[in-house]
Amino acid sequence: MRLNRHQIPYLVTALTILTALVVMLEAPAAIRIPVMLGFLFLAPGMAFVPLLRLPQRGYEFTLGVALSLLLEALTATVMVELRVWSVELNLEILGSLTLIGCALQIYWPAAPEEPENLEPDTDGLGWGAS
Amino acid sequence: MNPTDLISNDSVLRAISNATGGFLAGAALTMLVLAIPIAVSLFASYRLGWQQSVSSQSARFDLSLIALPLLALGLWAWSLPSIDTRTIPDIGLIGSLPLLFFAALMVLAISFGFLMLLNPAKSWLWLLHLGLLILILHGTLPILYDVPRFPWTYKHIGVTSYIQIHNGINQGLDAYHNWPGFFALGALWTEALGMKSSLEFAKWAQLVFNLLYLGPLLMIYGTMGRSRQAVWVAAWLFFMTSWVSQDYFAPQAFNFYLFLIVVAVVLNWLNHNPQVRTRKARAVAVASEFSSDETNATTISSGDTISVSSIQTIPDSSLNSNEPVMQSEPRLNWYFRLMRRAVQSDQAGLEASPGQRYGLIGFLIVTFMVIVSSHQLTPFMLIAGLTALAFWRRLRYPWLPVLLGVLVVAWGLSFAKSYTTGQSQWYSSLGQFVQNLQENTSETLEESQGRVTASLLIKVYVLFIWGLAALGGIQQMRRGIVPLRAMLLAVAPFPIILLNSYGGEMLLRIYFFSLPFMTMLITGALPLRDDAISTAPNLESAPEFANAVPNLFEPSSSPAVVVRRATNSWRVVPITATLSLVVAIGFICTYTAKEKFFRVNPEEVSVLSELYAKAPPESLIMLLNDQFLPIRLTGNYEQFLHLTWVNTTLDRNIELNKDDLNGMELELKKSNRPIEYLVFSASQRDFFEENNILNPGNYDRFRALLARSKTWTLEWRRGDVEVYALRNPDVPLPVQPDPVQPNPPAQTPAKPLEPNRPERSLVGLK
Repeated sequence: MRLNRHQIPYLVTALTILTALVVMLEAPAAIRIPVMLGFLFLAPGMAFVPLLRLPQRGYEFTLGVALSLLLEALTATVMVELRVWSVELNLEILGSLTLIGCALQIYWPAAPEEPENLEPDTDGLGWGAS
Repeated sequence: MNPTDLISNDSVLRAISNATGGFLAGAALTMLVLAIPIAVSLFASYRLGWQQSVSSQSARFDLSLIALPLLALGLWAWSLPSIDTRTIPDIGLIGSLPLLFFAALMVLAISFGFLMLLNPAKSWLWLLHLGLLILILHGTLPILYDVPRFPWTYKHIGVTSYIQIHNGINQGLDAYHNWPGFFALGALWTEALGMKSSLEFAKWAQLVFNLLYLGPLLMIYGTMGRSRQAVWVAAWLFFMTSWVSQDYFAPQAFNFYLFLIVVAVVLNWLNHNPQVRTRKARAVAVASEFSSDETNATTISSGDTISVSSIQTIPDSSLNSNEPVMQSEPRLNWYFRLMRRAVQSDQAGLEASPGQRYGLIGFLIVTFMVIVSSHQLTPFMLIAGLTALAFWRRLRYPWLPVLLGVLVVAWGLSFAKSYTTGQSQWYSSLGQFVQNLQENTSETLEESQGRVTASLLIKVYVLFIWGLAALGGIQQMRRGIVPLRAMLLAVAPFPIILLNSYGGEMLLRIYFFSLPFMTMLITGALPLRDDAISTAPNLESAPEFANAVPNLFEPSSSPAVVVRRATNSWRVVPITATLSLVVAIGFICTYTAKEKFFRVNPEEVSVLSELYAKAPPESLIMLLNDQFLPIRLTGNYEQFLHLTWVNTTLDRNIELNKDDLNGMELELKKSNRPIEYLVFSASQRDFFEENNILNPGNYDRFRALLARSKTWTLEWRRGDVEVYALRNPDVPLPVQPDPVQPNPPAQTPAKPLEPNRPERSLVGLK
């Protein structure tokens, strides 16, 4: 089932809220680890990359994962250099950024996807196109 | 049957020459067993219509193509329990792999061959095969090992733990603290996941990083491959030739991922190629190829088929008028001819609005900042690649490498100042090509026959890959295709060896950074057929194409243009399977050639973790050799002084005796430390004796000497790992500090790790 672009910010917001609950309630590792992995790999990046309106979903996903890791590395490095290291603060910053990105996506929704913008001879993911 | 039959007596050549029918019989038996499911899969595919030149979108058809991958997965999983990682022969782990493992690889390779034959449109089928390949080649060891691979992984775990404990870094300690980006990320992940140390997940790094590489690699290959098959084959080849093992829990692995991301973004959206790849542009381009009137695209005859490589796209109206490639000069010199061919050969960039481009530039700037703050070498590799693209006008914004260079200098003069101004050796190697090359190619150890053979295999394998890439590039150029971007990016890392030897690892890093583009060039040497473009007057007359390319048609316009994917003869299946298996075996040989020392003993990790946790601060940790022990693996490693007693570069056939013991006791007094610890392990013994550093049996004799000593006491023993301690009565035991320090210690100069080197090396040379 192909995910509608308009659903992405709501899903990411839900994941962020779920992650916050998991942390606050000190959920057991069996729940915390998969939820946190999902958040760390996807949420911060997928809050912003869809704003680029890339028609290739596979490329969008790839850049979303990359941006997630980049934002985490950047915030962590800044905190380490400033000697204000705190994982809780770091996660709060990331969560806030994620919610801001999702809000921007909701405020500026993407136009309905046009078939002619999709690469030919692929399934719309973009991967494998030449 | 076991391939160990091929590698007995530590000599591959002798073993191959002694190869009996045992291995062949085993292989034949395996094929017989596998023939049944393969035949069933073939029959099912035939019945579902795979003989059509264009693959069906039928779900049943797709399901038939996953039968073999699932079989490969099952065989691989079945083989895991029988892989013995405790007794690895000198030739490497290939000596311990059962035939089932190779059968799994063979089945997967055959299945990939079927994909090449049938060329399905669904990306997930190709991704499934690539994912399984990554799992089998890069995921086997993390599954089998209890602890992370490579002894030097533990230094990175220690730095990550340091940040967790001290809430900061200390630039005076070592280079890692001057480029802390990756370690800070590791610390964040560790605590966010609720773990105490990155040791709990570091062993999965190789599998995770290789899965991460897949996305940007496909994005890069999409801009270079002349067909969809070339894209997937290049990715397939990459994971089978990426043997340098720079993908473990380390800044290099993370930054290589970021390098791929930057290149992917640049090639796709910030490429200077004026051709824009949209469906409409291609349709008009195809029409103009055959139309007598270039402005009227309605006179194409149905059924015409043209090759992708001959498409001449109509120039973009926004093209820079000074672009020499598009000028219709009657006499073009070689440069213009080359550039024109390169432009025609390159896959067009993706259309991007100004807003999208600015957003992507912002993305790149963030990436640059993370790269600059987390690794020393990757920025230079990236600068080299981007500069090469900019010089040959393949980069829309030539200031990008300049910006990256500025960030490198800024970081080096600010946050990494204590290292760049205090460590002078990196200046001395600038421009020293011969010296740097020698440091990368010389063998300092007298290795066993098996490892000498393995080292030779590695060199042959590397030259084979590079040779194949050169052949592929030449083949393409003979066909009139100039894969300029792939060639530039493949060659760009090589001059970096002029800067530094990087501790003898620069050639490995060059191989790593050039490999994505080398594998794309290799596809030029393979008999892959280009995608073909056909025309049909209307949708109804080409129903078999309708389902294949559902997003291409504009039913209201005429003529319709269809891309028909490449098809190959049935021979591609056995050829692909055989070549894949050969390359995969070569990968395993090179990837695990030194696995005997790359594998870390879990008892060593356990004992050393306890040592670092319980030893008083300021203790002296004496190591006979620091290369293959998981040292500095906790966040308080900076509290201890580490000394190495044996010089593995100079010492040969030495005999450790009472004099050495006395020397170690003297070292404790000289260093004014409260306690000295000496670590023994079987891996150290094997390393010393097999490389003729110690006399045979000397390691155990020396250990027995300590056991009989009245001053040394046995503190920890687990398996074959022992730690002896010597107390210095003149120095009182310090008070254990608070493990959590809100304010990290003040900056101190870097402590020399081996002060007052003992006279061991001089004695050893006599």
